[in-house]
Amino acid sequence: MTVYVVRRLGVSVFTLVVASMLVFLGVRAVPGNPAIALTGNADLSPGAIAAIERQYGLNEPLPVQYIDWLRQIVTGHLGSSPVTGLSITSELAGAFPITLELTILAMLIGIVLGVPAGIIAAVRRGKAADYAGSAVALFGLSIPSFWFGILLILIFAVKLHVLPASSYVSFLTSPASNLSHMIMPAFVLGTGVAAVLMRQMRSAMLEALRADYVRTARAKGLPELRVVLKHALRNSLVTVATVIGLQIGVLLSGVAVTEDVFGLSGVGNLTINAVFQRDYPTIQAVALITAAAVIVINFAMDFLYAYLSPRVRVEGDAQ
Amino acid sequence: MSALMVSARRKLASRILIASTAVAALSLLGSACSSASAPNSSATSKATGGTLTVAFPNAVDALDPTTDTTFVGRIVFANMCLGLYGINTQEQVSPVLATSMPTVTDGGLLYTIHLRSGVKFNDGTALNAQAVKTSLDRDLTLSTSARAVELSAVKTVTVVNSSTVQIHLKQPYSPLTTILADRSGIVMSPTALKQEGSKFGEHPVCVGPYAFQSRPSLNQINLVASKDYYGGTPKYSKIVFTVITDPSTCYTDLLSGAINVAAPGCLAPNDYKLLTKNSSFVAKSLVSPGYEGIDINVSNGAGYSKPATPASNPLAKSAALREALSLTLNRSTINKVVFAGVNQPGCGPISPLSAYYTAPSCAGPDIAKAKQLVAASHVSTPINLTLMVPTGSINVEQGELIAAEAKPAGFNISVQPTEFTTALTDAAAGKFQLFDIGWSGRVDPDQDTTAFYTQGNPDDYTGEAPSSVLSPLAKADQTTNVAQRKTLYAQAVTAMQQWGGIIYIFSTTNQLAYQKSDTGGVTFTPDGLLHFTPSAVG
Repeated sequence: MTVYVVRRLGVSVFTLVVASMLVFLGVRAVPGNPAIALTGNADLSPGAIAAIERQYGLNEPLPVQYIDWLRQIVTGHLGSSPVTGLSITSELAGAFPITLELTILAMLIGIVLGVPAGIIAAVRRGKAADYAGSAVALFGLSIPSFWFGILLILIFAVKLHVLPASSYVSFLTSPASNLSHMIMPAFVLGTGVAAVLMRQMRSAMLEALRADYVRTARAKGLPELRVVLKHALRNSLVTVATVIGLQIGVLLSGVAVTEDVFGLSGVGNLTINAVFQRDYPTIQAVALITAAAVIVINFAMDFLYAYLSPRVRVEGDAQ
Repeated sequence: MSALMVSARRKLASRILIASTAVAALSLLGSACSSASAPNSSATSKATGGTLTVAFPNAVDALDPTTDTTFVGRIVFANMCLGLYGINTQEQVSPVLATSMPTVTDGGLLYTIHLRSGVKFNDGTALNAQAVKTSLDRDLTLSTSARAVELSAVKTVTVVNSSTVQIHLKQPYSPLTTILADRSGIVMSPTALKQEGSKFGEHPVCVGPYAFQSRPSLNQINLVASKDYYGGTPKYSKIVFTVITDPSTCYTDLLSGAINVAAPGCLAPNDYKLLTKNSSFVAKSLVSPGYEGIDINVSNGAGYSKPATPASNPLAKSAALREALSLTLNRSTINKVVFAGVNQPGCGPISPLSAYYTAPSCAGPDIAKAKQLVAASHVSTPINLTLMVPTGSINVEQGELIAAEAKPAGFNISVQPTEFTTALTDAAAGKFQLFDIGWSGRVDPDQDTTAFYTQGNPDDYTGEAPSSVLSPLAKADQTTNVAQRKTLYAQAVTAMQQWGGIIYIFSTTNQLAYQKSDTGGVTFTPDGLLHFTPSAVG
């Protein structure tokens, strides 16, 4: 088990280093001079543009810029945005919790809706419930989030006046207000997650329901509900857990469109603004933090598999 | 075996429960730690003394008048950082922190400005002439200053006494007063400048009806009513500026009451039109000093920083072909189809509201004449051209319409949507043929013309204009006589049309919409700024 965890940890660190290089180089591959971007319609003098480049080290060779950046990360000082002058650490500290909360709420909604729907669809395969579940899942997968978001706003904020249309209130300020602001964006994202989980759950359950141990359980005369929930479901959840891990990574990396529609200053919004303004330091920091979060989640999922399944850790140690 | 399985499941369930609780706690902790407490439901309160939430379409850069380059930044400054002068509702410069218009002597080389008495910055520091000099000197010397170019005519700033300051120029420069009505005229607290230095934008302190409170995220700026403001108690106790980049979201947020005011640029033209018919809202449109036009790369073949070099496209070699392209445009149709008719078709860079405006001749559409000019040029048709437009559905739609209108005359224009900053960079570097781009405009016509026709200026995408354009522009800078300047700008605009480096399409407008219950709380000036305290308007 220890060998397995250490090996996975090593892979995670290596992946993070490679990700940092890709982030660094990718940002600089974007066309457009960041100093020009700062000027809007370019009303800075060439001297001022050069001063900005010097101030933020943009005139240094790429390896030097990369080493300086790593030094900043290690020391925990991500510097300030050349566009806004705001501390990047503060910006991230403000944006990340919003996205994290949105991710968790969306996942909860997705799991609550998707997993039972997948089970029902598998158990009632070929029946009306299966077709209905599949149709709803297809709807959830195909509907554009910005359209669905605006539709919800029109219904619940504009017509019914029961939910606020946008913005964010911290949980400490007002838990009720916090949830009322987050429920619509979380639902928009959660329905997409639910659709994916429903399809995965249905496939995994169908496979499990055809397995020998399920046939044995039925032959023993166990009630169908017990067969499904105690025997088939547990084995199916391993596949679904993988999908949940991937979906968390997608949501944490920022859902810019949904955040924009609901006026949430999360990671997605921060990223989009930074990209448009060629705010190199902020783009790099956001991308690296996001990559780190995804890697940590993947590591946690690996660890969870090993923790839950002896077969995984034994095979891992044996390699 | 069965007991063991039950035990294992219970452990598994217990672990999942613990893990779920930890994740939920992490989420709530994260939420609690987040300082981004944005406009809450009380933000919809519109009563006097409540919070007003204003949405605009882009994030402000640094809240530092010396370095700011954004239009939306000016809207924030209009309420917390007053200047020596301002633009009033008649698009005229008028005194704000100064007591009167400057006295110009010594052949236009000396501007003397008298200051209001009893004025305090929002940190309690008294406004005086030394503070004005400190701010102007910072604008002139800070390495990252965005004001240095527009103040380049200034030689020195001197303090005469505590309420009088003098600006000495290198050469006469009549747009100076108008420039002082923008961010160059904002006076920053010398106490705050000393404390914050180059980080002034993180905690800006000026004279204004509202004081900076916080900027919890890139997309939100909070102001609170100032206790030191000389003009009395502001109407609202708090103003929240928030960024909404999607026009549809801006519209629904306004309908729902999540925002009280949609600033210029927040709404799509069609949504603005809908609000003009909604009795619960006030929707206003004012012609701005800005314009939309097509820049043609005539002699910017090597980039703005190099000597003028002829571009390689067919239009660069022929003023007649540039005229032909202009003649294909049906400006009215473009305005109606793409912009719901909110703009004002026109053929020059100067706003119809300006005191310096002379209606330019605006021929077209005349496809027959355009065809004649193309035929006379002996350039084989179709004439293939690429029109660069900033990304965005409206820009692309406009580009496609321009291409369709030009086609009958023999032009084959392909539209190339390009991300905004990349487009600006490419245009300055001369890497384009045609560029459909707007300019937000300034009240003094010098700032809407000279820089766009002078090789070496990063705003000049088209290249070096002939002396017939540049000469009257230069002369207009030398005199403060309005009638003389008006005549000179009329000459320059006529020469611009003959040369054809920029084909103007229309004067843009700024649209504002807000809930009717806020009537009286907003003063909308033609420069597109929103003032929530009438006494702060010039």
